[in-house]
Amino acid sequence: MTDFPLAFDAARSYRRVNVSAELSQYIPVGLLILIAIAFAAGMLLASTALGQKGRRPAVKDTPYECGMIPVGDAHMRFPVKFHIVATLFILFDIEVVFLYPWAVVFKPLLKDPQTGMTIFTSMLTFLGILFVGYVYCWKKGALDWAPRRETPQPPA
Amino acid sequence: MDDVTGLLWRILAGPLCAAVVIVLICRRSPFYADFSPVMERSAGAVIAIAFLLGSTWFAWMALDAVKTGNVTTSPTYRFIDVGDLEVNVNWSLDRLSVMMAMIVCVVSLCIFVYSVGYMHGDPGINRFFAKLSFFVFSMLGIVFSGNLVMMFVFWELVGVSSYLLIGYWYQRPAAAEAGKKAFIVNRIGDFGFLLGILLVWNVTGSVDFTDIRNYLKAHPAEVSGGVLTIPALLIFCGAVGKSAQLPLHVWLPDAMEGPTPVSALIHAATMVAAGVYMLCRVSFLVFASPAAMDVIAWIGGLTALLSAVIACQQNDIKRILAYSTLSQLGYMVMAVGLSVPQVNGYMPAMFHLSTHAFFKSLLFLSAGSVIIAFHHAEQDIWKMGGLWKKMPITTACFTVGLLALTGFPGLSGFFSKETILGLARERNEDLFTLATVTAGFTSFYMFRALFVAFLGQPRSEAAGKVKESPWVVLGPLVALAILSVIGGYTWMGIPGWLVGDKGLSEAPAGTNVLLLAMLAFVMGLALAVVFYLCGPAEDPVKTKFPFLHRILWNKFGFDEFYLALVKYVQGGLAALCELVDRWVIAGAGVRGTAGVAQTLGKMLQLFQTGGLQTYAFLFAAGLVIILYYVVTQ
Amino acid sequence: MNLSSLKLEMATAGLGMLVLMLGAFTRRDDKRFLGAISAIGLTAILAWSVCCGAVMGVGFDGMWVNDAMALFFKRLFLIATILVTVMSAGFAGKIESGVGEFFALILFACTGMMLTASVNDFVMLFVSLETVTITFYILTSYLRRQVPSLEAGVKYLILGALSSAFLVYGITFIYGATGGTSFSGLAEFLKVNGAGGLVLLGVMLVLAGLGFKVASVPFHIWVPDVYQGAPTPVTAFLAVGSKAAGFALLLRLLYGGLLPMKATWVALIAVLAALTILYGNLAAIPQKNIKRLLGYSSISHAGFLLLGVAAATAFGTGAALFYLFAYVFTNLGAFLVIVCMANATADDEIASYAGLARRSPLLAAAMTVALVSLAGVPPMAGFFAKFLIFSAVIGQQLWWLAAVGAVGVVASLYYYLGVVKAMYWQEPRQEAAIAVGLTMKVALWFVMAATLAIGVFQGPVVEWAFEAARELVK
Repeated sequence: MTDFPLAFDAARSYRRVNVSAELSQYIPVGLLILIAIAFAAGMLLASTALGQKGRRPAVKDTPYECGMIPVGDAHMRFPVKFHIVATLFILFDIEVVFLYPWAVVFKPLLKDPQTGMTIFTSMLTFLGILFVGYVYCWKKGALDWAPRRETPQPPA
Repeated sequence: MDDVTGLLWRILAGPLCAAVVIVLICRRSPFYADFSPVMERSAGAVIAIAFLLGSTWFAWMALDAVKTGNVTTSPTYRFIDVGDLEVNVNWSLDRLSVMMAMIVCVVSLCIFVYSVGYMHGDPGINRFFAKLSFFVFSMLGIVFSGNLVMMFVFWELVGVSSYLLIGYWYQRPAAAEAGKKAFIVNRIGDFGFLLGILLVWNVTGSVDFTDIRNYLKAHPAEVSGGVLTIPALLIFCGAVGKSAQLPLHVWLPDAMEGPTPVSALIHAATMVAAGVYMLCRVSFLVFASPAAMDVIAWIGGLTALLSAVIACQQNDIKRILAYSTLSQLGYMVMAVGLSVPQVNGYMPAMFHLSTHAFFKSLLFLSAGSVIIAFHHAEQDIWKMGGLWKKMPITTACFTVGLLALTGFPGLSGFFSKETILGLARERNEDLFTLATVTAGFTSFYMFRALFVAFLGQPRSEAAGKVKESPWVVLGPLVALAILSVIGGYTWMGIPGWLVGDKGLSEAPAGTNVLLLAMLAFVMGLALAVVFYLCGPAEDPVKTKFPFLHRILWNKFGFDEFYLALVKYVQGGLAALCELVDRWVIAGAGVRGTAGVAQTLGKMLQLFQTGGLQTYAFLFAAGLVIILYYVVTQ
Repeated sequence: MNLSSLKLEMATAGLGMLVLMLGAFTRRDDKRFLGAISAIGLTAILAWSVCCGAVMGVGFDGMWVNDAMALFFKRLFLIATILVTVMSAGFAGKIESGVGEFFALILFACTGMMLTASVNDFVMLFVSLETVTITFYILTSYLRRQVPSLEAGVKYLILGALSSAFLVYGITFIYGATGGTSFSGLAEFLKVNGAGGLVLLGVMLVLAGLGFKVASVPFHIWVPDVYQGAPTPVTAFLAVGSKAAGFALLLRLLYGGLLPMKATWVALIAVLAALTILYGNLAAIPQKNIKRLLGYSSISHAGFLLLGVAAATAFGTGAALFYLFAYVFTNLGAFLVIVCMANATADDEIASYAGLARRSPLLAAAMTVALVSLAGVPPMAGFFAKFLIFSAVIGQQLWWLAAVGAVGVVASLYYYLGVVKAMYWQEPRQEAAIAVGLTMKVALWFVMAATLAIGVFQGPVVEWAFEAARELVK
């Protein structure tokens, strides 16, 4: 059988042990959630408990108590470029994340040369698709901050 | 065994190719601008005759092949294969079919040549020859069909081409009406035919002639006791329509509105004989039911008598011949009904069919020759008279046809009619009497036509100025006249050919029958002499017996009866349907349903608010309802 | 079973990337040649699938199955996509920017659809479905300066996300109950434990998600708005491709995973089919916009297809497959005419079709053939398709269902023939003749001929569909 060995095959085999074992893997997650809640709550509580109470002049409600005096509204329009770049960042970031589990199982699976070749070409294909997307973004000018040179400047 | 399927294909293809080629090339066209006048005027005739000659030659080869007895045909391909119904394109090749094919080809050939003269100068002459060729193709198709379904297909094609040719002069309202009448009346008979085919298939499980025959032979017990009576009678319905027997005879006289060659070819010699041919083709089926045979014989006999009587008071020369045709077809159908399967089979009917084809087309063509002389303007015999001096050959030919028709000794009609009368004498005295009386009437009305139209003095100005027709018209007349004279002799061998290996058995009641028939002939002749030879200006029967004249003139009121039937019964039904349609179907049904549907549609539109929240809500609500439905189920 | 069993999908995706790159690197302004490249490439892939076949069997740890039905659907999707690319080339003038991407997205959607045909696992189901759906979100709102297109895109996105949410939610229940995501695992579980509790909830949620794709009542509510607003080729693709993909998944799931609870889903789908037929046909009657009308009509056709599924026999499934095949040609024929009309008259109102027969006999004839076939009039393909469906339903003695179907057919005649009547018997608003480009002409003739040919010489297609169905149903 030249079947495609999948990483979660291994996961599947120990998943069926029993329910409590299955749930126990979530204990760290639960702990993390508890710590996060405790941390946020603690900060709030601490600032309430330790902070100065009493008079609150208008200056106290400004974003910055010192330095430049802010002009205008914070809800201002900003170039859509920010949005595109942010989206692209998330996209490529997430796809790079896939590289980690692959890298983890890559070495043990390399022992069987054929499986190794398969898993290697698979990742190459994946990266190739990613690369096509990258080239596309580049070519379309999604990575340029300034308007592209070829495009005629809009009349001032 | 030689497989001669290819030969049959060639026979059939000839006229069909002619029709196609004429339609395609015989027209004004930039491709052959210089020849256009030729193409428009005469190319159609040349092409049609050339192809028909080919077909005739192949038909003769087929006849020759059948004579040696070692021929077979093979089914060409599967035509229909649905459930238990299996129809192949296969062929009948036997003595019956090749003889019929020869008759069709020879008579058609004469008539094609004749048409060149008759239709001279008609602007639609190419269309005429295309239709005529198509008719010959369809007719040959009927002749060679190897099963009932194919026969039915060609049967309908013949109906269509007959419709087209009757209405050839479509500018004339009467011709268009006559075409429609012929078609519709034929449809009534064809409906019966179709039902008959279905019933036969139901009983025997096949529509193939050979298979049905074998089935009947193999299962005599299952088909006895009248099982086949209804199917046989329904199939006979087809013959009643096409061969214009009582009560569907009304279309044939009207069909005389078509050009005379058409009347001669289709409505005298071949198509109307298709009914008789078909009965002979399925004779094994008909012979299996004595009751059906009785009905067939009586319908034939009554048609023969009734039409002969009506013919006595017709004035249109073609209508006289048309009723005469009806009467002779009645003889043939009666002969089928009276056949003795073990002795001569369907021979008497087919024998009369073939001689009739010769002499009746001869009569029609002679009448056509007279009509040419009157420049297509006059067909009333009371406006003619004295033609024999100016048109001796036409008159002679008409007389030969007349004598053959009336059964004058020594001519072809004599032999075939005697055979039928002999058969009737032997099988059914009543029908014999009927047939003999009919023979008397036949001689009366035919001599009436001869005396009034051809002898005596001219009765109109036009009659004084007639000229003999050209040889292209007279040639076919003479050829047919010769055939009408010799067609019945033993050395021509038609009866012997038909019975084949069984050998001809002599009719026992020879002299008696001969004497009685001659008596009838002489009485008819004598009456005609008394009434008409002196050259009266008006029909003496009309003045002396006005009542009789009126009845016969109105053809016993068949047309009026049918009109009333259509008017009151069909009209009443139509009115009822209209009421139902208007108030129940259109009102409650259509408008009601449409209204309900419209309202429902508009109500459903209310869901479609366009609001996203509503949609999401409906989506979720739908899911909840489904869950509820599934859980509670 | 290895990667070569994916060769058709990989080829299609590669073609999509090629088109994307060409679109990005070319300097030509008129990018319609990308449509030609797509169509030719897809035709080559179709030819490849016919002459070289495919690697059959189950693979990738049971997630992927290539059988006769998968191949049937893949070819169907390829044919539909070819026609849609041709249609899009005719529509390209209306797209402001991003013509190249438009074709690439269509090809990616096609890849997703082809994936759905081979699905045998819930993960695969979700991935393939989302590949189709997400591309369609973009395609639907492609005319970004036109409010209706944007509105349609937003509605489709939100409702689609909702349905995907239900779907994933359902999958988690199934996973939680059975401990796996494969169809066969679910079937085994159902065989042992029966359907009930959380599994049933999960299955119903998944079916709701698929119901959204095929536009079955009560998950059809998005259809009219989205169909009306989306660019016409996208509407056509939604009506034909996306729906067929939904049916591919539905059939795979019903016969792969839910066979042990057949009685439950047969009853459910029968009811849904009846409701869908009635809703689609009745609500179509008062419509004034041709795309909206065809939207409702596509709901009703989903109902007829569900009728074949509800028959739950190899015959019924085969009938549904044949119906889909006939529906592809017929419906795309109608949309081809709509594209031509939209180019000429700039709106999609049925009133603009008045007197079309005088302005363009070809368009009127093509529309008539398509509508008459959709209505199920002999000798068109649609007639034989309905005939098979009804035979299947009657064969299962579901008389009431057949009766509902008959009511639907009668109602559908009303609105389809209303358009035909407008085209042939009403005075045109303007007399100007409508010019049709050569490519569109060829496509119109092809679709007309196919609609007629499938109706008259159904034999090979029926055999092909029934072979696929037999293998699925066994």
